[in-house]
Amino acid sequence: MSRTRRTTQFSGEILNKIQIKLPALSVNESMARAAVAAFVSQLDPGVTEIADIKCAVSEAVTNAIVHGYRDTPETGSIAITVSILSGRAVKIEIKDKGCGIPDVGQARQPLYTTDAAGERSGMGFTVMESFTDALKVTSKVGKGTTVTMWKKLSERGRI
Amino acid sequence: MPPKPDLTPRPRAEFVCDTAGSILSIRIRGEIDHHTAAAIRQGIDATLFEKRPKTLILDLSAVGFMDSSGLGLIMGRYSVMKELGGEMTVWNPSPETRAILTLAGMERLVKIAYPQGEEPTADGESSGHGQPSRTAPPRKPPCQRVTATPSTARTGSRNPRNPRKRGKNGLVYETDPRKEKNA
Repeated sequence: MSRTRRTTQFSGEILNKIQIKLPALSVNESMARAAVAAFVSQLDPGVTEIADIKCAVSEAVTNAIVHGYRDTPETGSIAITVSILSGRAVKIEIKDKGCGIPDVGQARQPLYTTDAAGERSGMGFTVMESFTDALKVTSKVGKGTTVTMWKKLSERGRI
Repeated sequence: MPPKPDLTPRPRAEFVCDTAGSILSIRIRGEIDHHTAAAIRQGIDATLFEKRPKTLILDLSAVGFMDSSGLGLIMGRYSVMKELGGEMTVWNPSPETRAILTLAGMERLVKIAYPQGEEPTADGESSGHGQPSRTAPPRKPPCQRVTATPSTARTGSRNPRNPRKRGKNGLVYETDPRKEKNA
């Protein structure tokens, strides 16, 4: 199942790209967002833009750990791909091979959570959607979930 | 796939408590995410059920990062305070945390207050209940420091509402350096 709510197109040429693969451990959440922020910093983004990206990445990685691999006894892995596109745009893809999401549309509803006992706010996808310019969620039950986010940075840097 | 390793915890968030009468002020420092929120939650709940304050002031001025786990933390503590018959105020959220608080409409649930003259100017969206409280948290040194680490999350009680079952081993207590300095 695949859904794209916003139609913003980011089809710029890939200028630079990194790939990170990390164990799905909560201790790695901060490292994941810091690594993405560090890579994006070459575009000289604004403080708010970096904060938005870090928050969106943290949400996606947390979702993979808390929900994607919730029934997996072994440590799963999360693959993060960050691409800098021409036109000062950033594409961030966060992929897990967890349980998948049966109904992506429902999962993206604000306040929806399957882990109310864990005090999850159910705002993860809402935060990702609000703090980026486009969000695409592709998921297949039993196979995993891929979250792709695009962020267009303001015109202020060198690139 | 390899088994889940037992990683040595790295403290990235901590909180300090200060009690003044029936007011409990809790100042959180560091980053609030899913990893750190569990230990902070357990520590705060233990303090709440021990001291049973009428007012909880959750000071977010030193929080450098917060995602939706922080929203869950705030909403959960609001529920606990409601259960205890008290009220809760979020005090002076840092610029890094204001955006997500506003996005979640948190000001409709709890009071968000700022020091006089430091209220955010952008549309005034972060001012809770229309009339920000002018009462600052107590400025006295905190009574004790509780360092929130993943180890506390693992060893602490799974029932945050019953701190008696948690035991002292679940939390790491340190002497606050400011208190030593003032002594």
